[in-house]
Order: sequence, then structure tokens, then C-alpha cells
Amino acid sequence: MTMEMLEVGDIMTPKVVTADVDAPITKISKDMELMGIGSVVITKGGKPVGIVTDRDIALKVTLEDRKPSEIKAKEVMSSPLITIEQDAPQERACELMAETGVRRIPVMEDDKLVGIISVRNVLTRNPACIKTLYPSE
Amino acid sequence: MAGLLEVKDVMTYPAITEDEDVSIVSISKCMKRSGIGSVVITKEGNPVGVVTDRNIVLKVIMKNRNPDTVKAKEIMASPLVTIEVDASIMGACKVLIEKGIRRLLVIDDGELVGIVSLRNILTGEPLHVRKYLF
Repeated sequence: MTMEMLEVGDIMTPKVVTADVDAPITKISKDMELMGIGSVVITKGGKPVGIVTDRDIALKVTLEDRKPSEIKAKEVMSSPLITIEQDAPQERACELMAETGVRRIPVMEDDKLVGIISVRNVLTRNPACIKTLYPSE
Repeated sequence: MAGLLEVKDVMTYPAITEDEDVSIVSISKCMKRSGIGSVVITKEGNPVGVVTDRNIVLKVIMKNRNPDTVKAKEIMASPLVTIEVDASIMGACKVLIEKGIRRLLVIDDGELVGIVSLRNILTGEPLHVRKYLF
């Protein structure tokens, strides 16, 4: 299979860790540690509305001198969410990351969250994809 | 061709450094102001480790430690993983993937000159950062 045929759904991580907008960030950082992940998708009424990364937590807590147990996900999350459809070509994910500077993009299918795709997914599954980012000069 | 671009064409430079005895609060401030995710830690001017935003979450916040009193050297990751400034982007990418890490220190003639991260590889452009002193 050539890389041109790969879709986002083929290389995404199909499991996404989510937390409610009102979840304390202590819970979120615990999930990050346990699962070895760097971001958690934040939902409101079950619908994805934002994303919290390890960086968001590090800077918010250390610089504002607040107790992590009292800070809610909605206060630190990035929103609105940049998403991509499961059947989009993987190059589209690549381009979207390059354009927006985000490292991870939640993957949707008919308004349902079905996975997440990261820079690492793209480059690990198919290092040749780097050529999408660096078309012949 | 991707192979022709070198690490120096996409790295973040210069590498922002702080002394090993600096507090985590100072490191966070530095990260925020400079818009970076890692600070190289030095001992007597020589690079000895790296503190990342993720390190801070796992080793300070999760452990309920006070970011005002914890020092960089207590949580920094070492040893350092480096790459030469004229290495290919593909080469840098390979190291990042094999080691499961996000950033490499870029070395030119034995001197630390920058950092190359997955993000740099994505954006494909060099990024000039500066350190703010207050």
C-alpha cells in the first residue's frame, strides 16, 4: 500500500482518553501519567469541546500558584477543537498540523470522537510521510 | 528532496538555558515567555540536562511539590540526546522515533546551538527564540 492511500483512520490511535469540563486537573494529569499520554480531550455533555496538554497544566499551576485540585479542565483547555475526519487522507492531517502548530488532532466520524492522531503517529507509522512536509525543493 | 534539508534549517535557536539551581517557577516563566517547551539545564555553563513542561507535571505537580523550592537539577532528564547541526531532517526524525522522545539538542563544533523537536520537523521552518530576563 502506498502512503498516498493511507487515511487518518489507518494510523490514528483508536483509543482517546477524555474528561469532563469540570474534572480537576489532578485527575487529568494522573491519567496522563498512567496512560503515558500528553493530552486529554475535554468533553461537555459527552461532546468533545477542547483539549488539555501537559504544557497547559505545567504553566497554569506553577505560574498562578494555585492548587491543582481546585483547577478545572475548562479553565486550562484549548478550545475550540481542531478536528479531522477519519476518512481524510493522512497528508491532510500532516498539513493541518503544520499549518496550526498543533501536535495532536482528535479524529471524528459523523460527529463522534473515534481516535486521535499525533505527529508521532504520522511519522512513526510512515516516516516517508515526512516528504509531505518537505516536498522536493 | 527531504534528505537535503539539514537540522539547522528547522531548529529552534538559540537553546534557552538556565542553571541547575534555578527554581521550577523560574523555568516555567522562561517557557511561557519564550514560547518553548524545554529548557536546557547547565552546571557551570555546561549542559547537563533538560527540563520539559511534561517533567514539571509528572515530577512536581503530581508529587505535590512546591515549584518555588524544587530546583531544576532535581527533576531534569539526563543524559542529553544530541544531534549534529548538519545532520539530515530524516536522520533527526529517525532518532526521535526510535527513542520515543520529542526533542534533540543540536550541536555545532561541540557547542550547543539549538533544539530540534517534532514540532520543528512539522512546521519545517527555523524558529528564533529569545530569553527574557525579567
